[in-house]
Amino acid sequence: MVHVRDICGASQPPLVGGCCETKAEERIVLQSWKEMLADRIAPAMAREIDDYERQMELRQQGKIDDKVFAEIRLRRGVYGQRYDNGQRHDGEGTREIGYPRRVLLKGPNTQWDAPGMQRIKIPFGGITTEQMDVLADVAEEYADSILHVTTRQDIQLHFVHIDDTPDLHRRLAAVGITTREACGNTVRNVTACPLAGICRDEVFDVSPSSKATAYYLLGHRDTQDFGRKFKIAFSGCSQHACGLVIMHDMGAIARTRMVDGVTRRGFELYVGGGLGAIPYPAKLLDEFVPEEELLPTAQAIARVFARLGEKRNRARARVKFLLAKLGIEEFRRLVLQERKALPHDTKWTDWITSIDEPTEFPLPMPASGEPVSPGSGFDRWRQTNVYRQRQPGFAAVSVTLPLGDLSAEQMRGLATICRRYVRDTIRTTVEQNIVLRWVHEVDLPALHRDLQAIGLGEAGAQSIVDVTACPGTDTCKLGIASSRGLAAVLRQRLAAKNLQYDETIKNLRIKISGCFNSCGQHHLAEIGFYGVGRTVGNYKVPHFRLILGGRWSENGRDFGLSIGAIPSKRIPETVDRLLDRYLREHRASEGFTAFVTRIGKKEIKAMLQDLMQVPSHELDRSFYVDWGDAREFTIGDIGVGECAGEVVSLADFAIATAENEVFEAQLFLEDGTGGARRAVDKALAAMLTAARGLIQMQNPDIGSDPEGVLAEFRERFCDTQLFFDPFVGGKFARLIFQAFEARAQPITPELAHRRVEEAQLFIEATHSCHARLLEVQNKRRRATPEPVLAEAVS
Amino acid sequence: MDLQRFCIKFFAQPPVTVDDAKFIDIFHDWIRRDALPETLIDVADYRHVPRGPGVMLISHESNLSMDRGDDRFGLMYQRKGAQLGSFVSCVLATLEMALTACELLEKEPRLQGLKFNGGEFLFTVNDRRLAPDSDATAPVRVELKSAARRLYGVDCVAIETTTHKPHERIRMLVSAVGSVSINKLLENLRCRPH
Ligand code: HEM
Ligand code: SF4
Repeated sequence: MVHVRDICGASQPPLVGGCCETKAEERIVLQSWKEMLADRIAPAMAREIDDYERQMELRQQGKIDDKVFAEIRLRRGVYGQRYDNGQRHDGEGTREIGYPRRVLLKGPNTQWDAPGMQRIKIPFGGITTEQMDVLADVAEEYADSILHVTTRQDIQLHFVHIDDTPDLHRRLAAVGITTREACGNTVRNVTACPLAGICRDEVFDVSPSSKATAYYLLGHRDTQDFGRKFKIAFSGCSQHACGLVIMHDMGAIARTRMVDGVTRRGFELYVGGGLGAIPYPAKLLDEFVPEEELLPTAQAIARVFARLGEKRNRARARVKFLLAKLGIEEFRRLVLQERKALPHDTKWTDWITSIDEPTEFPLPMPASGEPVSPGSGFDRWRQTNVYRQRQPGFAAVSVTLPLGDLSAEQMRGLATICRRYVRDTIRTTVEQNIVLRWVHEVDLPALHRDLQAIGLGEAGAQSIVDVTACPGTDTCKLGIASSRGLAAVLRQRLAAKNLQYDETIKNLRIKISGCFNSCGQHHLAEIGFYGVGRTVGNYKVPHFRLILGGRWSENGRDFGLSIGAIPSKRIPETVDRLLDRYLREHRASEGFTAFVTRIGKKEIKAMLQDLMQVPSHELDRSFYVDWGDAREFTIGDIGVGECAGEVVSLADFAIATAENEVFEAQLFLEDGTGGARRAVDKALAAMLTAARGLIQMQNPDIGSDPEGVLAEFRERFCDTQLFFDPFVGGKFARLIFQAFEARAQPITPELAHRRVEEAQLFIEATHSCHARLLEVQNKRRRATPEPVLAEAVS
Repeated sequence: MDLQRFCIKFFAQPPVTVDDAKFIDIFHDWIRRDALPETLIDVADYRHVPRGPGVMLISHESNLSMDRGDDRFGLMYQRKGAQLGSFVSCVLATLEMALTACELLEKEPRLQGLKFNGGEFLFTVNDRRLAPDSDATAPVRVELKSAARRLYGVDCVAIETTTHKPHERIRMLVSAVGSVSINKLLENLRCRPH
């Protein structure tokens, strides 16, 4: 396997101050992974990876278009990462990163040599010790020695060079992991409750059905032509959040039904949910899909989505938009029609034949022969991290991963611990932790001691201190503010106060996204945040919008709404204030969200008003630097303008007014009768105000009649694309026209809720457009020096 | 395919009292100033991972982290990309880069006298195609010894294989007699004829 090759035989120059003999230098030559693993990878998987490697070569020879190649690699889970366009703002200015082969691209404006992210699909979060070892290995050899558990039970590696990905895929394939369709316009990871099969509240174990769905749809011909991603989730019950069915393109909740005196298993099937910039709750497609109909129904849905889903406009390509366009009845009719036309496939039911056989086994005996006395912190850890299984004598243990991260060394250590206490009954969770199932309860003290030894014995899993965050500005190209930086600070502060043990608030969740796309699932938490930027003076300031009203329960049914934007550096204080007030004033058994509703968002906003202010740059520079960063904050490559002074323009005022109006619209939502109507009207008014503000930058005399505003807005900002977002194009601009056109339509509370969200996004886009226009003005000003005073006067 | 991936760690001299947050500022400064002759990209903050890589400077060629693995604080330099030349010359080039970073940190006023022990370093073969059995390690030892002699300028260099856990990469602790300053090592390497 290893041999040393003498490559030159030439004698070496004398050593510096040395006394050694000269000798030929050698190369240590190794076999390739492809050769080494040839007989350990399933042939189909090996072929796919070889194909991918070839496509990489073709791309390097310029024989595949960069756009096409981008989708090819995304379908292998190979994602872009921040700064892969070769540009980075270093705090003083945007600089080019000198990647070696600058002209070679792996996607539009994406340099080949720039490090990227590898997403690794973990269907239903199920993972084995052997897989954990290999994951640790590849993290060390190809990434930065860190493994990250995502909000959809995947594992991600960052800073991976694309040239390493074929070998990385081979090594994973050798232990049965495919990265196929981890990203791209595909069926993404199929998720399921991490407690499926051991939960005290489940109807039945959804592990087999989620696994069957994942592998049935993987690479299926009917799932290859989507306009966007398609996400599926399974839940064993309706009441808990774990499965998050309601925010998925397709979601299934376990149900049973008596048919002819026999209990039949099936699913309450939902479609068209999704978070993203505007969250949509899924709609009920069918109250009961028998288990043998699960896969054909999923296939039929996929076919309808592939056939009728939007393809060109990516911003409207998710199932949720198709559903909004067609309506649930029509969608249901089309699915049923498709289902009827499908030719039979034996795979639809193969998985059911073995469904009653246990797939998991506990170790026959506890691992700790002698009783181990509990170590320090055991009781508290047990209180927060241990779940008593339905099966007497066994527990599921959550391993707390700060920000979803663990080192390769820890992953390997954890695999060793798993072998000792549970073997392969391990799941990742959407709360970015790892759960060990089937732990003998008597082993808990020893297990805790062993976890502590590798730095993984921390308490507080799935509690208020276990803050979830998307990658944000750390590695995501779309990140606006540092979600992970903020999460790290919050978890440290909240844990220092021992809030994870406070019965009243320990179960609240805090979730953070770095931008409106909501990868951190901020809508679903009791306290959510998403990153936005603001301009103060000539500087940019990282902010987070505070989202209240979500609830981490019922499969993510309740989405929160924004209270306002708060400077990032004041978020810890904001959280303190909210929690203090809740602890002081809540009524017996009143949940946090109910409390927020009772005292009202207006009151909440008032109590946080002072925190929304930003001190000037001269007074406190720290507000202008994000968490965990040392650079002056910027949004992408928008440079910070110089010395334009504290200009408060008409547009500034108008946008601020619009912010207020949209907030009012939110308050209307909480009013009973008539509230929805007023909310919708106010939301439209807010959009018009914001649009008018922008127009005022070019035409200060613009009137206020809506038609006039819209006509000018279209002409000045849409036809010119000035309002278009660099990433999503005209998506936000369309919101105002749609809202106006639909102004007289009947209103439902759900629609009103959505309209308020849309107004918020539109106003956010107005902020961005305004910032871009100011930037251009400043650049022009810099390019044309001010005339000297004497000349100006003359 | 050649063995080209390895890591080199120089340990800090105890007691280490430095606040890891300082490295965030320092590494961002390095990027701004092009302080290392590499394609510097970004800074990753892993301070929340116990005994993890702490703060990491990511470049095209390497990951450089202020690592707390093995409960010993030090500068871990992970060489990533393909390098030209023999194994020994790759190791020497990597040593030079790691030591340059150590030297910069030693001079850094914000770190209040952080010092590294040049007298030893940990060498990790970051490629599991080379399994840690004696057959495979022998050639690496021979070559590494040759590189270490050039680094220290003396013959008496000890190499102790420290790999002991399953799945662990080949790890070798290389040490010279007595303590050696980082500057001296850099001098040795920089005088090396190329
Ligand atoms: C328009 C672009 C994007 C949208 C609309 C979007 C939306 C979402 C949403 C809603 C989720 C939440 C989980 C769920 O739906 O089940 C999610 C997950 C996630 N997103 Fe994004 N995202 C976008 C781009 C990105 C980018 C550029 C990154 C950074 C690399 C990213 C990283 C993640 C991660 C790490 C997760 C957790 C997920 C997983 O394993 O699938 N997203 N995304
Ligand atoms: S929410 Fe935004 S910042 Fe966070 S990962 Fe998604 S796209 Fe990136």
